[in-house]
Amino acid sequence: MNKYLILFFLSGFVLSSCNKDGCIDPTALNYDPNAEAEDGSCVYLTQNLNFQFNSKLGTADFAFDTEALVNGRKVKFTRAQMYLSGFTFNGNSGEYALTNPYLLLKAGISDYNLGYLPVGDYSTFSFSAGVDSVSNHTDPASFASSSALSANNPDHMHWGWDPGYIFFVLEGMVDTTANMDGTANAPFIFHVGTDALRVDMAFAKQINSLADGTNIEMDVDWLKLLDGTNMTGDVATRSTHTTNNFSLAALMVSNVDGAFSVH
Amino acid sequence: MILQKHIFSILGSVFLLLASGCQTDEPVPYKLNVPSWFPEMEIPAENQLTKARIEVGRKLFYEPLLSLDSSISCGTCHLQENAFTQELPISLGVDGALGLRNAPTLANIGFAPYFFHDGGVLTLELQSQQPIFSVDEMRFSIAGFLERIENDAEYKRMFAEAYNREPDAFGITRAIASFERTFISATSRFDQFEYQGITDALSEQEKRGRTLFFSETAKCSSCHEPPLFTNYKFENIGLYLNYADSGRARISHLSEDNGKFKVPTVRNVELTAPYMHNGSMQTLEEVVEHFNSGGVNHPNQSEKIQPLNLNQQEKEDLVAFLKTLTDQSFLTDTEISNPN
Repeated sequence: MNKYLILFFLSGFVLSSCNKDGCIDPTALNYDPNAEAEDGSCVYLTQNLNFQFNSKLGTADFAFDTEALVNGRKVKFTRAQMYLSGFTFNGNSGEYALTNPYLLLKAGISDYNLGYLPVGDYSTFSFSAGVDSVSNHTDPASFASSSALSANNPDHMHWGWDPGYIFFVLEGMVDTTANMDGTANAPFIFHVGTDALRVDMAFAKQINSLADGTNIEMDVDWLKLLDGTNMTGDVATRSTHTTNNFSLAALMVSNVDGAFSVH
Repeated sequence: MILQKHIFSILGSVFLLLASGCQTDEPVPYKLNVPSWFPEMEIPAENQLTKARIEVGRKLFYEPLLSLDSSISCGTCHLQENAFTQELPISLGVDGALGLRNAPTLANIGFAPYFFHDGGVLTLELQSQQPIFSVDEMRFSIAGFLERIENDAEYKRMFAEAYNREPDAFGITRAIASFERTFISATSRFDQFEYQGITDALSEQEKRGRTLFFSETAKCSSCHEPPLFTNYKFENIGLYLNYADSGRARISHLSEDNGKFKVPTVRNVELTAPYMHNGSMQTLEEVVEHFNSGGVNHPNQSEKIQPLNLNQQEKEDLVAFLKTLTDQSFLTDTEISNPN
């Protein structure tokens, strides 16, 4: 019998020391912590939770390269996206945090599936604009390819630097003339992140989650994010990579909560 | 008892069956050639060195497809003949974009506890991603690169061998880090003199410069500590009263870190011009003159930076000593050169 015991342990040793394919997404039902490479086998609970984000420029629908006014100045967006994370629902059946809590929200793209929300009644939900401080300092190359945070994701936003993920990317052109009578031809760039600038938001909404689909519709006003800015010939008024121009980054972030509303 | 026997037999067989599904080729481990007078290199458990990992890392390090217009590789700004630096104050990225700071030497980079002049990145694996994403450097994405090599059988084979997976961000970043960990520079004339007992490896002038370098007066070695010739601390050396680049403060947001930069190694310093975080000094003579002057007395300036009052001979001796840290075999090592 000892012989078999040895065989048994030896086999276990061989197993634990070898590389293998499997499901490497921790949010999947069949997540395999020993798997090193994804083989497409991940199985999830019914993907019943859908978010619809209606992108806006003020009251108009969002469109790239389309002029709108911020503080009297003409602006137009060429790139606008942000990370949302930590989706949590509260209601009669208690609190539920989504197992796939990361979403890369892109202006103009409205439909996002966020995975599974247990059947039940909820009255509030919350999420953050930005990334939680643990994931924010995790190597982007270590997330499963399916994650919005993965470096394999073509749209993923990261500085490759200790501040971590770029939570918000707003790029476009602005009219910087003193009389605000010119054209939007000077670039503005807001690359905003760092743990301190994550924005936690909560919303009241009666949600009756059903197995066959739960839809939540929200409006997000990208123009609102530039509220209070006065973008002039001085580059510091229209360009921030956060750490080099923290006050401008913080000004943008102060608008985030107001940019989101339940439709 | 018989039943028990069978249970173990079955269990054993099941495990063996599962185990046999695994790749059985043992990776060839790689033994770093770290000299006895160097510290041990800490290597992440998930990314232990193997020949296959270093091999694919080397291909990637010299891979221009990692940049938007396929014009720039890591090796473009980190040239081996310059101890993996470039003779530009600030290197140029895609479309001639100006980077942020002077490209640092990668000699002995595997021993560093953090990376960049501000220490803002804690692992070599993460560091390797930044130039790919940076708009001032390669201005590209790993996803974009993966698309380009989608049908590249050689990369597929190399990644399978190295990490037992398809090419992806995990493997790419681990492989580049693995290759860079082999950049060990420890065969300068100084090493021969100091650690191998070859007393005539240095000339009389170089020996005088050595004495000065390690002296209590000049204090060079209090920051540029042997054997790596850096203590990896952040110091303000009084270059300016107002720093255009806040240095460490960019990461820490502390005013007392303003103008502080990571102490660079001075190994191979003869070949890493221009100097300073912004490449503002062209020659070693200028650098020595700066330290001789005692700096501009920035509020955060290191106490170690004081006027030295060195005479011309002493300054020349110091420069002569610094040049003994040049490691010719590192600069010409064909194991780390461009394989293409």
